[in-house]
Amino acid sequence: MVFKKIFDTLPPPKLLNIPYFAVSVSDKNIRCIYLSNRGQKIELVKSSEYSIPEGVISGGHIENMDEFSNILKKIKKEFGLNYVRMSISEEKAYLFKTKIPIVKRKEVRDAIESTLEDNVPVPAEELVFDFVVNDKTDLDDSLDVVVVALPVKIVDSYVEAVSKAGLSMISLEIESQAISQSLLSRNDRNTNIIIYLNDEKMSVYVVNNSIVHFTSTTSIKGNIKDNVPFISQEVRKIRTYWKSLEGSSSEDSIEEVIICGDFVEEDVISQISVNIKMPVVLGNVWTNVYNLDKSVPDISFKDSLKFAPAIGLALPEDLLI
Amino acid sequence: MFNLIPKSAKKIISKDYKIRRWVVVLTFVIFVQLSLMVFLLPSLVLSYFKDKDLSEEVQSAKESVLSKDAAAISKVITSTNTSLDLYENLFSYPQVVPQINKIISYKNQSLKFTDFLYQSTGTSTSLITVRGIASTRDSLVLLVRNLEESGVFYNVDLPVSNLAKDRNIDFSVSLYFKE
Repeated sequence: MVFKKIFDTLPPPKLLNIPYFAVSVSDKNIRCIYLSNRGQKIELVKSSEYSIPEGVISGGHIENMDEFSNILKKIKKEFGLNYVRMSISEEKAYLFKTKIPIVKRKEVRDAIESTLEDNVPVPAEELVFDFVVNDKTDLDDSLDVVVVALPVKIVDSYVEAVSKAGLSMISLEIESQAISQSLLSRNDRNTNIIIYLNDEKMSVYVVNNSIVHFTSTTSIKGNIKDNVPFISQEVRKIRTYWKSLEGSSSEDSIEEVIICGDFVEEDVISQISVNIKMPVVLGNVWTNVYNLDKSVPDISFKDSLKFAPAIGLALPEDLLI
Repeated sequence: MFNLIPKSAKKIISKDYKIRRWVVVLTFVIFVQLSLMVFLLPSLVLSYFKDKDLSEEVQSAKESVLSKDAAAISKVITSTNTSLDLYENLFSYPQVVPQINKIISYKNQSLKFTDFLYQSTGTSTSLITVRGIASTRDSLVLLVRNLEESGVFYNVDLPVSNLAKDRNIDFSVSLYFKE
């Protein structure tokens, strides 16, 4: 707290703040955001969207490396920055919650590694994983950790594409975590369901204590309005699943459903809300950037919903690595 | 936030960040150095001009008439000092005052000293010749005896001719002593 005040008063030199832009990659498009961080004030500098030709990325897997690199090169030229934070869809990712014995901080990674094979159908040596320790652990004899793992091949292919484009990757994250960062305030301790609609896909995430605990991605076809019953059914299923989880308490009950992404319309929201009998709201991707009552970004609210993952990525963090 | 980049990529970023940190540190050091230089510049300029002024003063002092005479005066002083040293060595003589005091201490009313003559007879021997008038022979004999017994003089010489008269004797006593 004291250090924060000191750093707010005497911010570190600009050179130490590596300037980066955020890129969220899906099968059909790339969305980029560059936020400048001037002391306490975060501002939108640039946003742009690029479509990806069919067959370049499929299900999160890069099929055409050269083409993808060329698109990134073009983006680099336009943004004029060398560092990038990237998010990819979680189709190839494994996200799970597990318990490990209480160990020293430096031994947590090893402890999780030993549990990987129980939770992921891929050998541990073929995975890159990261984790977050849930500070709401009640039991004294174990630690609750949320782990995300991606196959090494997938990670390497994205790192290679970024490198070919002359960029340096600061972080590679999954879309769900980035979205939750943009929609929920940093101190949000509630449990929420987030629905993200993009590329004829619907992703549903359960976020508790600002950490994504569960994700589910399914394909949807046709107009969103036509899919309202399906969306409602999916949300109900996930809510039931979440309630049935061992250890979930009344504190973990889902507060509300937040929707963002493409083609989101107001009447869809009200229909879903009626169907699932829960409050459903349109997400505000500028929660941690702007106070919309005081200033308005140079992008319409409807369009901003598509940039949820990129905005979440672009937000400054205390620790990058 | 989860970060799924491999360790190698993390190391590259970390290295890059370290380089940036060093750049910041070096920039700070250079800035401090430059600031010091800037703050020291007035002193440097001031000392440069002071040095220049002093050099000019020294030069003008060297070129002045007084300075030209100073060399000759210095030469005379040095020569005089050398001579004084030499004289001091040449004219070193033993202390005679105690001996003269001793002689005077033996004087009585019958004796009148008219001359004291000092002579250096060798490197460590000297002679004092005392002349005067003794009203009686006995007083003169007493004086010579006292001087012999004093132990100050290794030889006390009184010519026998000085004892020829009985009264109002002109005497001359030679007193030899070592330094």
